[in-house]
Amino acid sequence: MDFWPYLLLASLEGAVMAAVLALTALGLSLVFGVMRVVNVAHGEFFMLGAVLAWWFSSVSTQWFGISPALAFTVAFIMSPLVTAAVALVADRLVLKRLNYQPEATIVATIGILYIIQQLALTFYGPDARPVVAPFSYRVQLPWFGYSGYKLFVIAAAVFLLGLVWFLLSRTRAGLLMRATQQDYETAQAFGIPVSRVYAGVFAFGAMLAAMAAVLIVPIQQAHYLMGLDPLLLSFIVVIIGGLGSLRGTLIAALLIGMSDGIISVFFSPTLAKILATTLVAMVLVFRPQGLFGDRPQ
Amino acid sequence: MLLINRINSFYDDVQVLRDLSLDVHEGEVLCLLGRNGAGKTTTLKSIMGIVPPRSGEIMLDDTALHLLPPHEIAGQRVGYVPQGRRLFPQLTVAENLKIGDYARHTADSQRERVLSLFPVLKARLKQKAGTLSGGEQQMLATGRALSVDPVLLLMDEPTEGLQPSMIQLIRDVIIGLKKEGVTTIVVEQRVDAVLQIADRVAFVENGTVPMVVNASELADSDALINRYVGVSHQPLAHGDPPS
Ligand SMILES: Nc1ncnc2c1ncn2[C@@H]1O[C@H](COP(=O)(O)OP(=O)(O)OP(=O)(O)O)[C@@H](O)[C@H]1O
Ligand SMILES: [Mg+2]
Repeated sequence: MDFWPYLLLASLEGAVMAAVLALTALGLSLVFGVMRVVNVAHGEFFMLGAVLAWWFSSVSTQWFGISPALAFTVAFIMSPLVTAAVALVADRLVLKRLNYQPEATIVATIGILYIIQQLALTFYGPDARPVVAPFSYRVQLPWFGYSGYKLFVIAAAVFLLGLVWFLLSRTRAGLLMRATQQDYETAQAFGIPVSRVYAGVFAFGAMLAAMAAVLIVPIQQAHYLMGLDPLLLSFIVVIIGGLGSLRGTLIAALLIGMSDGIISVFFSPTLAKILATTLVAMVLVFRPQGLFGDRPQ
Repeated sequence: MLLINRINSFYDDVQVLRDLSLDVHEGEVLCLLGRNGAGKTTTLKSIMGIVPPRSGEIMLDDTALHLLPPHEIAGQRVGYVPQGRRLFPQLTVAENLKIGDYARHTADSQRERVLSLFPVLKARLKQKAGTLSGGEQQMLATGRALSVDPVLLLMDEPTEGLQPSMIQLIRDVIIGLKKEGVTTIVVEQRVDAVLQIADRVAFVENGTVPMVVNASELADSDALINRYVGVSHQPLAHGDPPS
């Protein structure tokens, strides 16, 4: 293949990566921004989303004999909801009791990480399992054919990100989240039930990771250890984008996702990760508030 | 109207309010006066549930505020203007006012009333609160508190760092609210301001209120002022015209 078509292919791969990463990192960024909780278990919510997607889609095809497209739809709706419910339980049982203290919640979410991982190993097992894509249409470009599903992933992620933007900036729930993020004490003094907002944000953050996972799982199989990569990449994105800056998170996800995709195609995935982590180190040294974060007051 | 009965409030293990009691009458403007660190802000925070007292009672008429979760206190129509304003800086002026509306769980908005009191804000509804000037911020902070349609208004140093005409505007608002029957507790450092607006003055010292006097008594007593506020106070301000 010539260089330019090859670059196009690499860019498409990068865009898929960026789309999924943006959704995942946005969840992490929201949880940190609003609650000041560094959720180390975020990757496990991603994994849970993927594993549940496999479960829901295989159950609905095997037991109810419905088509892959419908099974995928079931998975896409149910898996994020169940993941959100798990996050809600974790919030009420653990984070709330720790009063959301930043240090304590880091340790606690490490605990949650292992609990979810081990539960997945116990009930889902050590195998990697695929979820059948809802459709197998291939888009024939002049130079190569490309998976229609991957293009769908990009479009779906963009749509979901738009939905999140709408929720945050145009709805009452979003207003309460933003007010809580900026000053929870004053928010509470004006009648905002901060503890409920926190629970909602934590569940919503987990839900975003799960949605990203459901989208990716027809491309990448579900496995109980698959949470580590999205966790690391999300952290990289959130740090580069600036803690608490959602716009920064999106731009950084695009940057990291695209470069990871392109470098992986042209060179190797390892080099992509090396470059990403180097970039984080540089950002931490030269611009600790992140590329788009506000300077700490 | 508001009855504070022997509250004790702490920041972690440090006790700040000690058996503080205070009886606020319906419709009055009560000033809290005291040195830096005396516990004035903490008193207001205790009423708002931000620093819930560990013992004692706070009764708003028949409602036990100290038994309510903090986010339900504003819903009792208690408006709060925090020290340093504490606006939501990244929210617009309109959104800040909407937050005030939230507490009452009703659709009707106090926005028109607030905007008629502070017409300056009308042109700035879409501006981020953090980019307002100090005076505009204070108007917004006051307006946000009025959005809960308060029967009890708590104002913590509302004139801090403002120019004379702005100070006068805020005072006019307090006086206007009094005419509507709103009860106000205001923390003020400037004795001249206290004399202008207050019915009574509660001195705060060391986390308790040793004495409450009528504002008129304060005017003739430098001894009281020296005892509770310290250093000779600013002279009375005369003739600041309202803006
Ligand atoms: N968040 C906090 N954590 C620990 N101690 C605090 C906190 N806020 C206030 N304090 C302490 O409580 C005491 C009373 O503070 P408070 O803010 O109520 O005083 P104040 O009368 O409002 O003073 P000022 O006139 O300076 O505003 C002070 O000694 C202060 O150091
Ligand atoms: Mg104070």
